[in-house]
Amino acid sequence: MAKGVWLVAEQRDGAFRKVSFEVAGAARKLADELGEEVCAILLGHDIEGIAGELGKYGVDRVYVADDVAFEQYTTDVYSAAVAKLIKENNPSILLLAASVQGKDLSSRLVGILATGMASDCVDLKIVDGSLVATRPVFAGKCYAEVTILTTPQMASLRPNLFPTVENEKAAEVVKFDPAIDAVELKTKVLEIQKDTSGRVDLTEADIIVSGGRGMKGPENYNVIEELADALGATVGASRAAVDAGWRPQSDQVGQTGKIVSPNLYVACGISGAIQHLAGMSSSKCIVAINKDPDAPILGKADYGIVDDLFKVVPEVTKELKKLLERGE
Amino acid sequence: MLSNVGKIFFLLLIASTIFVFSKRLIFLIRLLKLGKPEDRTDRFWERLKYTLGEVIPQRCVLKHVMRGDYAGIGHMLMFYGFTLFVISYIFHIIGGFYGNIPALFGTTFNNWFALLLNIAGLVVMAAVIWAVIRRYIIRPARLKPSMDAAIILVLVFGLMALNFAMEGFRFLSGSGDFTEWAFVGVALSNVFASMGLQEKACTLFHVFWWIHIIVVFGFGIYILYSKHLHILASHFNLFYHSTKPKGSTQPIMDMEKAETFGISKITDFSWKHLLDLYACTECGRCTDICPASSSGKSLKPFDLIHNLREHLLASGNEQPGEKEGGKCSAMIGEVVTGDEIWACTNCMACMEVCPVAIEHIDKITGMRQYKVLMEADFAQELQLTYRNMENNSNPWGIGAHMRADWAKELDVKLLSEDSDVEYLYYVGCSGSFDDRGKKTAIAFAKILKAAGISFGILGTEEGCCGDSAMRGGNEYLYQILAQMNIEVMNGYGVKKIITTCPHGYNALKKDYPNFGGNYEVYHHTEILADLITHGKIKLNKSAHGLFSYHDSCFLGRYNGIYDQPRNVLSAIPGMKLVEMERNRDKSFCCGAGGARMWMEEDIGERINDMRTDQAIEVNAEKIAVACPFCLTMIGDGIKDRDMEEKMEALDIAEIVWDAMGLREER
Repeated sequence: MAKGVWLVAEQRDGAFRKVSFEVAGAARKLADELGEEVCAILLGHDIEGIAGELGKYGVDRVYVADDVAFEQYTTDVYSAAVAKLIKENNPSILLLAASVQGKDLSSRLVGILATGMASDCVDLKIVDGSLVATRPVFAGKCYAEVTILTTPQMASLRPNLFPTVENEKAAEVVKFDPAIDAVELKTKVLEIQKDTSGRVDLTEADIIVSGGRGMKGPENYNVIEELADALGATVGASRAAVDAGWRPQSDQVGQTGKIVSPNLYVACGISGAIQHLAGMSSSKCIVAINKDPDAPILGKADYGIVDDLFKVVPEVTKELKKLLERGE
Repeated sequence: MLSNVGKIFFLLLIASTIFVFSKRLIFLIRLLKLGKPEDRTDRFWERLKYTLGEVIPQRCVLKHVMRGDYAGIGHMLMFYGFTLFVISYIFHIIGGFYGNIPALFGTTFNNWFALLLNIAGLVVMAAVIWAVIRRYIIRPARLKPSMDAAIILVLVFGLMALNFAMEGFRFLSGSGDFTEWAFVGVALSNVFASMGLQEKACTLFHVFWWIHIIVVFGFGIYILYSKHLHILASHFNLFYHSTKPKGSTQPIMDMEKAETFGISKITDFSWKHLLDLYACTECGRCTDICPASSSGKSLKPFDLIHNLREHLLASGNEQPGEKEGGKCSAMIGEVVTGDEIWACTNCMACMEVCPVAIEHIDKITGMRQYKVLMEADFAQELQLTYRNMENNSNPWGIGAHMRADWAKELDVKLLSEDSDVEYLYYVGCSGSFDDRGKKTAIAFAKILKAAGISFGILGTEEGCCGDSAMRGGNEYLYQILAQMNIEVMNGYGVKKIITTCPHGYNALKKDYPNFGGNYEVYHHTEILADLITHGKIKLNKSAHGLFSYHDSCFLGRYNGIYDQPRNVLSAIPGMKLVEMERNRDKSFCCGAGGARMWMEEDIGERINDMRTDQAIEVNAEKIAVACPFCLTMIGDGIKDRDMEEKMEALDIAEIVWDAMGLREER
């Protein structure tokens, strides 16, 4: 009889990725309902020290394999190690993050373990002792509830959605032998090229502050950059600003640029032509600052400020900084 | 008449000319046969009528004279003059064996023919001189320096000069029939006489006779090796012109079974598309008028055709008879680059201006189909657009359930509630989703209601028309979208349709019949013109500002709707209308056709900005458009040029709505 809610924890350069705590939180909730344990699998190199940290997020036991082969993620060794452990322990549920790594790993695991998976889930619950996952279909217009008929019941979880849980208990750390010597490597990481701008990529950003034609010129973007710095946001631009040569093409949000869905999108001096809306209307909260009360963006915004952005934005930045200094 | 030895030599000359000529001709025909089959043999008399109508009155080139392109007159003079000479060459050859043929038809014929030929010779020589001045001194931008052209001009001039010299010496020598009517020949014979060439006249006549006929034969052969192949091929090309509705595309009919899609190598083209390559006269009019070329893109329609021809001839030389493999496959990327393939806005200006009915757009669409359906190698922006069309049946990916939201407060009938209406208003994606486009849809729906027209919409049952998918090479997606729309519309028994978008108009009218969708389709400017003519709507509010109408390619060149939009505007009291320099069939594209609407334009200048500049040039304050793509593009152009305070782009429906005094105050 399969038992236990398992998850694969993701780390990069010796630090957990936030989404792993979210997955742990979801696993904890399921395990409590089932009255089972939460076990995490952690793979990497020089990561033994961080394994215990997972306990704080609801994990009872962490299986760690520390090997130079796990230093960089490769599908072959990661899937082999995880699959071996899963086969040995036969858990009832296995969760992963629907991150780039999680999507790659989970699809390979499904094949090796010959089981089913619900991908990119937004909600999980237990019905009659079995996992029922909610996932968006038809470009997010509907939700489907699905269950998996084979074990382990696998699911990958959409980032930024599941709450983390706090836990006093420390996790038990167990080393395991991944037995990967026999794994035939099909790929090898040669080099990792990192974006050197230091800013979070637009498509991954939590908060975006964008400027459009209303910025009047490239020299005025410092107004927006200051607000972005105060918020810890990434700066975007409308097509008009990119066309005018004020911002690089890589900053463009819209139909012919990047499609983004941050938690907060601040549109400054952007009228909201459909080509721009197509790229950002799925943002959770939209704030628009525009002096034209008829600008279409105000119809899409959750909060709209009808005024000159050069008056409003510096004021907002100032107040934000004050709040942050006071630590509120 | 020649001596017996001369006759034998002449026979050998004729035989070798025929041999070389036929060998080349067979080679050219064999290359045509490498193309895919395509039936172009229907409607024989209609085709013949069209061909003769273009060629005999020289409509093919004279039509450009109206546009200020006078080269056609020179072409006409050479054409008529040379045609006469071709007849004389036949007489000339027969005459080599049997003596002077025109004389056999009697003195009257001989006199008239000699006179005509003399006049024609002078006219052709004058035309050649004009052509030389034009080509090498004035140098219009559309003409490329070409060795071919120089050789031909020298040959034509030479033929005329040789003919006159030959005639002069003939008269002087007293051989053959003399006629005063051949005034140039007579004059020359007098000149030769004064030069004291009387005694050598007979010899010189024979020398010139031989040189002349050798040049004639050489010319005949050279035709097959040069751009003057059009002298032969263009007639056939005109005859086999497309009889499909103008601007329709050839659907891929066996989508389910086909293993390859589109055009990747020269032999993927149909034989008619290869014949196009032979027919090209290298006049360069297509490149001259092309918005992509004018805005600095690498696409030059003339180069496209020329390079394909060179490629066809080269691949034919390298592997006679082989259909597959080898050099042929390197066509895309080497002969035609991806940038060229994707720069086309499908505006059809090239095809409209081409004197020999070359079909440029179909070639480009075919190559796009290959890029999209076989290689999945196309712009990332377009990938998103296609995905949005797949998921939500509109290019922006806005929830399909919101398609009818624009009409919520207008009390517009849905066909699902009541399908007993005269017209279906097919709103299209822009009118349904784009805030700017919705204004057009709302204005038009209100006008229809005010005029008491019975109409309804499909609401959420409507889907994207698929024009951008089809023209962007995604035939598969287009067919799915088209078939879904047709199923819905046929289900309601729809007969008459009105669209506010020329792209939907063209697709529904000309492409949907391929999949069982047969409707009477109207563009809203047609309906508006009709409503005004019949007094169904009253335009009583005066128009303010200077208007200029921008012709949409898909309405104008594709469907010949030039007058109705102008009539609608002219019917508005106080209307001041100015034409941009490029208008009607010469209109300059807004840059959004052929799926370009959904792609970044990062090479060269923005086409929409150039069009906006043309409107600024004539001081237009309101640019009237009849297409949502144009509306967006010109609107953006006005913003790019910082003219928002002074200019505005408006759909004709909005202008009419204003003139009816129906626009509510905000």
